[in-house]
Amino acid sequence: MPVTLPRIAGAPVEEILKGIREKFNRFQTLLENNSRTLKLISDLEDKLHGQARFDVDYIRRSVQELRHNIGNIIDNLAAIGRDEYRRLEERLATVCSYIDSDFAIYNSAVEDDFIIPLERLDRSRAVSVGSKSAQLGELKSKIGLPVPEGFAISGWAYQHFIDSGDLSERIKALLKKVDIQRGEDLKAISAQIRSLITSAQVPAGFAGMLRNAYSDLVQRIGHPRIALRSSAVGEDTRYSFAGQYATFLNVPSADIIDRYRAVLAGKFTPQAIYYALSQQPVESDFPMGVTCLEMVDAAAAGVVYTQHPVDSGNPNMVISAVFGLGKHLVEGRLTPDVFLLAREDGCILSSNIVRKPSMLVMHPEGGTQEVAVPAGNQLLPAVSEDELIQLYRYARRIEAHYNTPRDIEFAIDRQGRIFLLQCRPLLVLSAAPTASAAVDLHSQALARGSPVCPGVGSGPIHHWTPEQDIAALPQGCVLAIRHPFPGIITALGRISALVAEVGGIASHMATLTREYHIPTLVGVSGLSELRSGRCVTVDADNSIIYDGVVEAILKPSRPPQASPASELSLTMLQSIMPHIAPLNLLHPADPNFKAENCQTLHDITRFAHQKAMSEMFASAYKMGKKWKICYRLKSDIPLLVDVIFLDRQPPRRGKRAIITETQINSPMLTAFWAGMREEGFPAKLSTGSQVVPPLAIGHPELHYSELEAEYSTKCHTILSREYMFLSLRMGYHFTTLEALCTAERGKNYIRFQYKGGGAAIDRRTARIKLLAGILLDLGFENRSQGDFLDALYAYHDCQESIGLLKTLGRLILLTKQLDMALSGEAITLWYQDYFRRRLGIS
Amino acid sequence: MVAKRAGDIMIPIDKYPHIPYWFTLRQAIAALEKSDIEVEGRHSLPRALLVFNEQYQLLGTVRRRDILRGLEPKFLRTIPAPSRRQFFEVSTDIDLLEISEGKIMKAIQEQADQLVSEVMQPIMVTLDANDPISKIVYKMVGGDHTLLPVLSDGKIVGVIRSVDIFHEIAKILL
Repeated sequence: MPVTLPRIAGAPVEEILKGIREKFNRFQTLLENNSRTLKLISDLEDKLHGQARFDVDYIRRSVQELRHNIGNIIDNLAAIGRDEYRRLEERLATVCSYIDSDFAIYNSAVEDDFIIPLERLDRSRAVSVGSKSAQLGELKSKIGLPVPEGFAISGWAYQHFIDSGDLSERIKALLKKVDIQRGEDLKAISAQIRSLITSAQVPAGFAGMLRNAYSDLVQRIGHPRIALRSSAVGEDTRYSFAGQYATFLNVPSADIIDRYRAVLAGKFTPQAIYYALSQQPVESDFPMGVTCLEMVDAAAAGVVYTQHPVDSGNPNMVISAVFGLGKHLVEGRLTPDVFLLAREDGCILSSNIVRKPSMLVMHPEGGTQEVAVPAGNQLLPAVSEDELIQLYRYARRIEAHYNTPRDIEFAIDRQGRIFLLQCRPLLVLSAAPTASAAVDLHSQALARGSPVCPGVGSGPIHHWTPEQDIAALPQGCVLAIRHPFPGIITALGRISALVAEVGGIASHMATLTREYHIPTLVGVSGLSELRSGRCVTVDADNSIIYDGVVEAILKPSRPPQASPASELSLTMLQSIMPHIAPLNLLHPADPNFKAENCQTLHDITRFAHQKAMSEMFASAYKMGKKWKICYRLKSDIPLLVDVIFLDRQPPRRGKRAIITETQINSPMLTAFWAGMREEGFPAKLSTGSQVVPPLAIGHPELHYSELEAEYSTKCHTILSREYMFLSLRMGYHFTTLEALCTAERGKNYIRFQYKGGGAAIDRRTARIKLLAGILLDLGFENRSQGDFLDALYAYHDCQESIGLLKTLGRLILLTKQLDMALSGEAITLWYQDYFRRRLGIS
Repeated sequence: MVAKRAGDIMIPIDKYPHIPYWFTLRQAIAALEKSDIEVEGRHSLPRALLVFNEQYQLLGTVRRRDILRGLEPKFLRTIPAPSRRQFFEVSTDIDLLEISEGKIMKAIQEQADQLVSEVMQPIMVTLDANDPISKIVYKMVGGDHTLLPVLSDGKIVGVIRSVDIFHEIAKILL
């Protein structure tokens, strides 16, 4: 006999149950994608702040996976809820297009004019003309600082040149053959590529434009002294390429085309190929821009570091300077005068004036020449006190403008006018000084020097000269050199420390050693007396070279083979992270919690996750009382908790949908509940003795008006054997807790979010800070904004996570309405200490 | 000079330390010891805390002496608390001498976990924001209070301490 099934809203029960199951499946897929997405984001953040190595490919793959996962989440959300959630797809496409355009910078030339005057440039044009030109434009047009006259030759012009000579494929084919660990190989391939470029025809139209621009510039400045410098697209902003490319000074009119080609060819010197390939972008086909700049007839030149690059605890400014042109300083051939200026007021804290026997000056017929500094002047400071103060002022303005530490090159002409020649970000490494007390007193200090890159390394000494092949270099040696030379970069991947007799903190080599994290000392005298093969330990944190291997100070964390931390990957990640990780949508009750306000991949994920949760419960409640798909938890803790199981049947019709803690069988919820029980849920107060009834607060600030103001204790949870989502309302604050505990450590996480409170905003914020501190101690990563906290604990085994859920249960009760009591800093500190003691955190 | 009223003299409610009723005496002591009240440049420790319930309604106050009374070890209590005047009333019980200091200290530690709701004093008297100084003095002295809540439209907006009204009187007289 056919059974008439009851109908709800016109549909038979079976269909409804089928629909519910379908939703559950969708929801589970969504949760899996959600947790994978959060993991990916968290991994990327780890990479950004951590020590782990990663390459460009890793970033691309991660972004691809993120995009795929989030697309999947949106798909499932639309299936659970309504089609209007598909609007999120547009947001996803927009955010991804931002990321793509960031990626594009690393790939190809941007269409632009071939030649662009500096004054028309600013830093946003780095994509088109390379960083050097763009930053000079920025200094000139945006900050109004003195920069020599000049123009930029764009990356588009380079592309035009390469395309018209059909060079691209030929260069790629040659590069594929190169083994960068073989010096001879590198040199041979480099020579072939360079001759390809220098012998290729510059297209006539472009050559004419270049000559015209040159003669216009000569006319404008009234003399024919012009420098051509490389301005690679991607240089400096992406990775420093410090000193790896060619610069030609004092280029006469007849040579302009040749020199242009030579600068382009400089992209393929052995050391530049090594640097580019070792930094991972195998498709290193970035375009080469060129800067044409009026030469400053320099009486002195040098470099300003707006902060000390080694010790971030020392915020003083460092100015290095030599007589004449600055080339020998940045190449490390001359030890410069070094001045330390106080950051706040530019007061000169110390001056280290050294003997400067020679200087580089312009040759009247083009090029440069080295001349002797008159004996009486060799010990004079290269720059005057007034000039230092002026440099300090410029540097402060530049740093304030960019809001990051900068590395600035300058020249001072014979009339005492300062010109700025280059401006790039400064990599600041923090030195973690090794306890020199740990050094065995018997270890003998062989020599001392000035640190340019912190760290400790040990190995046999190896003296090296430019002529030697890299293949002859023993792996893990301590490299000893007289002064830096361009080829040194090819050695950086194989050595454990570097020591040089000559050089300063501001040389290009110093910048490179910091990028490669090679402990480096310069200005080490008596180096030549240490024979090759002798084992030493270079303690660049404390400026000492010890005899033998001093195990006590060697840092175990350092990989046995010093490999370059890929600056390119890092900066690439830095540039795309703003589109990925920040969370702008904080709480669902916030009026801005809308699809169109999603600005990052994290926002989209958060929004979709939240909406999926509410859609699930909305449909649960829609079923009506008879068709409840949620249970009500029966517990001694007076919270109203609705439970939905992902892996169990909903309550049967007619049965009371009450479930006990034991029946729930979720170790995660049980642990959390046990934590709450341990602290004890506040008992209801009898109001019998009250003469005046409780008085409501009338102060407007104390009204919790931004979110749902009403007081509530309604909670809900979604559970499966391995998963828990818990949304708690305990008075005026909202907590969500999500946890995945599986046998696979790599999948596990706990995510804890906390928002709101009944007290004024400063007290709510104080509570969040307090919580964040405690969670940090417990191993969570936090981000907080105002009275919102988002904490994540990932990759721990199940037992640890469950233990932590219990602690969170305790914390929830310990901080219940605690905001009310946090009237000042002293009491907040007391609570911090009190909780630590109570929870047994040391 | 326009005569001041309770609303002008009071410390706004959000500037005064509060505590929920289920906090312990230890937490109350921390709040009293670690809070700072600043009125016209003068800093002082609070002598009493306001006790609220979960819905942010004021239930009562807890003063230092209430806490001290709450800390008294139970085995020393002979007289019902409200009718006693002195802390411990040591002189009345000669047997106390035989109880070790250590035992008393341990008992105090235990008593410190007691809830504030057990020692707080309910609100018996309130002020209105429009009350003039004379009325404030009258209510404070009459009931021997050190702190009174100030209401406006039936809702609490601040508190006045005896020291606040004393300063106002001093301004008039000096």
